[in-house]
Amino acid sequence: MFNFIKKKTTFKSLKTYDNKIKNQAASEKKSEKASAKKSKKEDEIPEAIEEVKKRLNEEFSLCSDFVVREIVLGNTGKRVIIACIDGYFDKAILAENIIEPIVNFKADIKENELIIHLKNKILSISDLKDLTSFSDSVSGILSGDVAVYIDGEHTAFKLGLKAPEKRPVGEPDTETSLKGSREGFSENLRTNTVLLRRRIKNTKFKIESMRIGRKTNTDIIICYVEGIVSQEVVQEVKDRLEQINIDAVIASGYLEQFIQDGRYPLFPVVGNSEKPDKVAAKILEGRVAILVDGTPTVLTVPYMMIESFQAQEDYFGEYYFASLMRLLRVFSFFISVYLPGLYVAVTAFHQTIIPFKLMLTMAATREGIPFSAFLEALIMVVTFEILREAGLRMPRAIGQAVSIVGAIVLGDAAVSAGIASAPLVIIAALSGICSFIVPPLMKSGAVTRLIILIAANIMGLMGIGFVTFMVTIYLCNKKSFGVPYLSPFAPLRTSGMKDALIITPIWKMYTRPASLAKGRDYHRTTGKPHRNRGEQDG
Amino acid sequence: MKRDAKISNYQLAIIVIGFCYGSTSIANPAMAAKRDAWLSVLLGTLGGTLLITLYLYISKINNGRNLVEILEYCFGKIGGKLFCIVYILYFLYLSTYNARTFGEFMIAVSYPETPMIVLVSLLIICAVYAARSGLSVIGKTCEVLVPLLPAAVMVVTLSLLDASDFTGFKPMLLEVGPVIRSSIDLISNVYGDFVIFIMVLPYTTSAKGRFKATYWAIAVIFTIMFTTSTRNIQLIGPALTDYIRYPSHVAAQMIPGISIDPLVDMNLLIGGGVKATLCIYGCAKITSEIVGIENCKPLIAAFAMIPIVLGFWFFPDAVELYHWAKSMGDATLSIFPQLLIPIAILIISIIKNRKKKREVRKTPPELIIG
Repeated sequence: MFNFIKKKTTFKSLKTYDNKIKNQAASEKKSEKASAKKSKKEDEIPEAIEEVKKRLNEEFSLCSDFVVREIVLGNTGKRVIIACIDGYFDKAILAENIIEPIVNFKADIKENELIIHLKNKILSISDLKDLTSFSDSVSGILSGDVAVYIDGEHTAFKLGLKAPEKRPVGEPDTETSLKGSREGFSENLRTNTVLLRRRIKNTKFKIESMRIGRKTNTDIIICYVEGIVSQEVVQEVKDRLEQINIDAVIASGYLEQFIQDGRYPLFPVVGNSEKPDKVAAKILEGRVAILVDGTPTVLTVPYMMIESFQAQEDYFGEYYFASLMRLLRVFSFFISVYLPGLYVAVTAFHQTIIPFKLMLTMAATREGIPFSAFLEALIMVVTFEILREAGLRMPRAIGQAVSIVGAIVLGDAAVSAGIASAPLVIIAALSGICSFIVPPLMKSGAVTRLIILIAANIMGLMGIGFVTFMVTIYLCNKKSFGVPYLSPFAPLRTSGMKDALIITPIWKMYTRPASLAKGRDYHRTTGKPHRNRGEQDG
Repeated sequence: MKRDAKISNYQLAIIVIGFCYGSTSIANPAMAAKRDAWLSVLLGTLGGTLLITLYLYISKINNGRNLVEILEYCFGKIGGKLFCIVYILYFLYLSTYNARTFGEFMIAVSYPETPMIVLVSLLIICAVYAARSGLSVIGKTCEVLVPLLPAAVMVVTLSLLDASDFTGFKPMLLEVGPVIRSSIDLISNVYGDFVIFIMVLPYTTSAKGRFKATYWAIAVIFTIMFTTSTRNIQLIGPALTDYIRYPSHVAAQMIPGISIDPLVDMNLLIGGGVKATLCIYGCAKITSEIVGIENCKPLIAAFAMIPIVLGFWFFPDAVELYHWAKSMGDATLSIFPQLLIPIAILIISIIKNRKKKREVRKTPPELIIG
């Protein structure tokens, strides 16, 4: 009875709370509209040039790189302000193409034709835009454009002269290729879009831009091929990007963490690449690429686990060898993850698995070692991770020293000192080297290896089986932008199997991956055009 | 009745293989027929195919209804719910028996000092995680893991090919009784459990391929069981099979040079896991539909606790468990949910469907148009 009354009151209070929220939302909307109108007026570029100068100086106070130059517009006598950030462009171009024509301006025109005349005849710049909003002009200046304000006009010009210092297009260190293109993305956004556009010369290849970061206003670009990509995926990418509320986007990794599926994914669900040919190929399969200004790493979504095992050279002929290499990569990944755990499980729980003679040798090597197999394995695995991290962070000049320390001091000396047995050194080294073969899964592999090692110490093979079962369910549960993470294996897609463990020749890959481009521009090729030629000749 | 498809027919076949293999991987009931075990497998599979066809047909004529809806359609709201409770109890018994057998086997062969509750809990944790993730995830997980089961059987069998001795099969059919008994045991233990799939069948992508997919799965299960039973008779001999509780495990130990039996035993985690997952999922799903809860997820963990406790209550020690396995208790208990209720469902469904058809024919055509 009391429960019932309680329920009723809760329901009533919920209803009133709901109405309250509705009223609040309506009033907020009204006030938003009113403030938008007000702010629009406030945001207009002031007519009086003195006012423009004052507001610019306010905005850019204590900004030593901000340059403001006041000149006179030829024979009209009107004052003009040129505002920009120093260092974004060549000053000679500014002087020649903007300042000189304005100062030498001589024309007898009406007042209302001044803007059109300036735009069409005087300012000989290809990238020119009219602006009426003051905040837009400020963000243009911050992005490296030149703003030109004219006394008595509500309209200003934004001139794109930007030519910042940039790193030349070179081969990325992280993804080297033997056969394919040697080009890599750079930190400059426009250079990166050009590298992609050069590979996909099609109007259906869309490049949309947006800005993220309350303080940094970082330029972001979304690329995709219309007709191939699923529009739902594009919309989902845009929605997720728009929902990001962060003050600064320094690198693409910041975005990756915001847009990825799941809060704490153990395995990567967003692709990373520095190679334009690889990204172009992914875009053509129906993926969306996200480029971030200032980062040479491009993000691609949706991302499936099999992509971690794919390499660009797999598609450059010799498909049988490529298939073998892919199988080797998968095998290496499993070795890197399971080997230390298996060693511990076998030595601690299931000694019968080891052939008798090998068991004797192993027992002899372990003689005198004070630690358990688990502790021994843990020491070696952690040591390897330390060496790997040191190799990554240290200055290149002392790389050799680290290799010597790793190989001789920690490898050989650990065995001689009786801290680790010789087979375990081999196992730790092999598992570490195997993890380098599949770079995208290196980090998640290291964590899984540690979990399996602990499980093997507690429950032997049963523990390993338990972790494998749980990780498999976890991976089957995972999706990247609506695409199953383990596709084309689970759910099984026979068409996708042509580029999974075994690679067929390109002419046999008739369709794009079914999980990405289903029902749209699905067909990639109709097969080999001259397959019957040999028979006809004969 | 249209439903959101959650699994493909291929996934259905794979789940069926994992589910049925989960029962036989530890102890094949057909081995009770000793030298005629292969015959028992053959007869059991034939009977099992008929039984599975019955279940598939029930699902087909009930046009997309799941077990709960079929029971309510046939026996009315209250009667249907009562029968649903029977099935919940039956599925709980299945998961209990399965988990307990798994735990007992692991303790007997690999982990004599580990507390049983730890081993059973590990299996149940896996099952809960999979069941909570939903039917589509169960399907995908089976796609990855279940192919390992026949692979393991193949590895062991091929490794022992040189140790073939066909004298163990003779004389054939010396005793007919044990063959028939073990065949019935096999039907109830392996194929009869398919009754749980009436709950799953409406969620497959197309109704057309269900029969084909299931028959393929039966063919694979038959091949596995036939291979293992004939291999075990050849290796261990008919006389010893009566004394050895886990002949497949002993067979894996007999591989010369290396003993991979712990690795092969890991497959039990897959087979047992699939069976426990589906049973717990079935219990939670039926309960949620009876009570009217949209999401069955919160019930899964609660139902998963029951097999752990019941396992120790029903079978306090290994002897009780072996005694139960050797008696026809399991088959007798299963007759009601596996055979009698489905036959009643079939008859009532056919009568009700005919009545409906007649009513449709009697209705004037203009009324239908209007």
